[in-house]
Amino acid sequence: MTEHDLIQGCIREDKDCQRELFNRYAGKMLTVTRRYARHRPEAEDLLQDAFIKVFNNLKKFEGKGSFEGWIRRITVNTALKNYNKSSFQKENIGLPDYHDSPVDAEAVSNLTEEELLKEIAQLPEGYRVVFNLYVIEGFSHKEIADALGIGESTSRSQLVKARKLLQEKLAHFRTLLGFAFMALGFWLK
Amino acid sequence: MKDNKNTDKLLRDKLNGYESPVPAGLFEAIDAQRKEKKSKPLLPWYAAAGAAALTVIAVGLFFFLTETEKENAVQTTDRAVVTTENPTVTAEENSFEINKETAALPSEKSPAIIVEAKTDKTAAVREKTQTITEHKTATAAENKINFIADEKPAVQTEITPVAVTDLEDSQKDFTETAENTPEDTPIAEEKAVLTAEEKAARENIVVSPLASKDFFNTDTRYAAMPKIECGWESRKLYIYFDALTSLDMAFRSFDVRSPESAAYATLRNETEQIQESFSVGFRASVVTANGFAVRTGLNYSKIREPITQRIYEEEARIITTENEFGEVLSIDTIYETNILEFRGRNSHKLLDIPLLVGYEFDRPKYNFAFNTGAYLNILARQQGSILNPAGEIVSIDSDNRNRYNVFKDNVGLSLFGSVAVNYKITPAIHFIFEPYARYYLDSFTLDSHELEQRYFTAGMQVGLRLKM
Repeated sequence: MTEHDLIQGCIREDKDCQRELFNRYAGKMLTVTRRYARHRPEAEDLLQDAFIKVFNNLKKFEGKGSFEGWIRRITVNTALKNYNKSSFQKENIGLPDYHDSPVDAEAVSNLTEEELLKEIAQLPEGYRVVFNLYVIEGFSHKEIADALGIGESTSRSQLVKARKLLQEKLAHFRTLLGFAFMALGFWLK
Repeated sequence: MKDNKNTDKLLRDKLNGYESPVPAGLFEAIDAQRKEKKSKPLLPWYAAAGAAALTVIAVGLFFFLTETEKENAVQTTDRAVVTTENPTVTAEENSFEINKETAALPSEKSPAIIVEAKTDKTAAVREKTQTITEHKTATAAENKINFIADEKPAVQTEITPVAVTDLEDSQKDFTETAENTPEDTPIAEEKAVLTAEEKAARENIVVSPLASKDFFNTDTRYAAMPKIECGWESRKLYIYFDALTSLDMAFRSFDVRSPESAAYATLRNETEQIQESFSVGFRASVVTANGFAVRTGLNYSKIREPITQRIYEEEARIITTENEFGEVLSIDTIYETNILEFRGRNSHKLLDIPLLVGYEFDRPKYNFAFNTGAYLNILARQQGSILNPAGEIVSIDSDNRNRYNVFKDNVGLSLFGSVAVNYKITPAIHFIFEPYARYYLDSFTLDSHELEQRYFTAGMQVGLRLKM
């Protein structure tokens, strides 16, 4: 079934088409909501809300751009709305300027997706949202500032802190991994 | 920077293509939730608003139509009184027909129109009393009571509730009287000039005050009504529709249900501030001629309470300084304090039906009113976050399935009192200034919660009043 047929079927409220559409995109969108949510149940709630909006607004999809991108945008907006309901705002008081610290690319490539998601989920909420919007969604700091109702400088500093924290976590993970390999080597000997 | 871009791309590629395992039953949950929403054609408060509006319109129409019918009935009575003055009558033309069906109407339902008459000129009639009942909401034609204005016998007719048989006898007597009346009786030339009261005075006729055109003049209406029982329907009623909005202050109090909760109450008081609130609504009033008013309608109010909570995070950073040979020269620990400030916009949204009574003083340019009564809550919803007893920030959103469920969805009755000054822009449109106070009798929180959360609100309502 083509994407167009699937969409038309969903508009007609065809249950099979709706299920097929859900099966096709739910996994990827759950990855999106897991990046924003504090825990798995919240991510599933967000996914549920997002797909209700998708099904209710399918008529509005004009076919411009990718359908997956349209669903992803709805999912991200649902997550942001949830975040904005209980907005954390970060104030820097007496902190030195942070220099942008790069995240170790090798560590990123070595980690599985689940491990990466787990590390991102452990970031403080404000950092996590900014990190997701900037790094994964490709928002600019101005767009992030508008979406979250914070200053651009706040967005920048939160991104830097998020990278730093993630770098530390990945380094820690890498150390543990190194120890594990060493232990394995000794054991094999 | 370039490193970051590479890593970002790596992360993006890795995560965007990844499909998380979706738990079974999620699609069914989505489908069920969509069906549930579709099965609710109207949100509860819209349904309630519609019901209240219909009630108000129905009440308004009822009183409005009652007024119109009453005026018709009074006109009929006027005509009846005047026609009894006409001295000339012929047997054929004096057709005083009484329909059985009309006469059989329950007398207790039709006490409004009573006309008494006695004859001095016709002996046969003088000895009998003619008794007729006329239903107030029927016109003269419907009741088949036909007075022929210019050819009426000079009789005084007393009309009070009687049984059907009496009415039949009376009809017979009336016909006999008409036959015995001389045909050459002079025609009264002044018939068109005299008022009902003047004629009554000349002929010793007892005239119902309802027949007077001045009946609704409050100075004269009670002047002579010895035999009239003046019920609710005999009074003039006014209908008003008010559209109101107000700026309020909500004063909250926390009462602890156990002494252990005192610290929690203090924490809540410190983190949740009072902010100006507002309400909008409409109201319909029915006001009697002597100023008593009954009011109802629909009111939406929003109590706003911003929450601010600072969370202090301390982070220790260890900085190791090494020389060029890699030897550690010093190890320093730097403590950084981050302050996370949580800011939320909490609100309690309430939908109420006002049930008020009042008293109004009417002046040419102003109208003053006192109102009191109760607001009946039909829906209460919350939005925002609060601290739970453990000091954690938790959602209280009514829409959130995982919310910290401590608030009622109906907060019951609240007592209301207000003083209103209505400026008459035109006779039909008034501008309303109405300072008011409202006290919620019940706590907003469930009995299982540690704290009782009560409110008292005060504010200034302004709006427009439309006189129907």
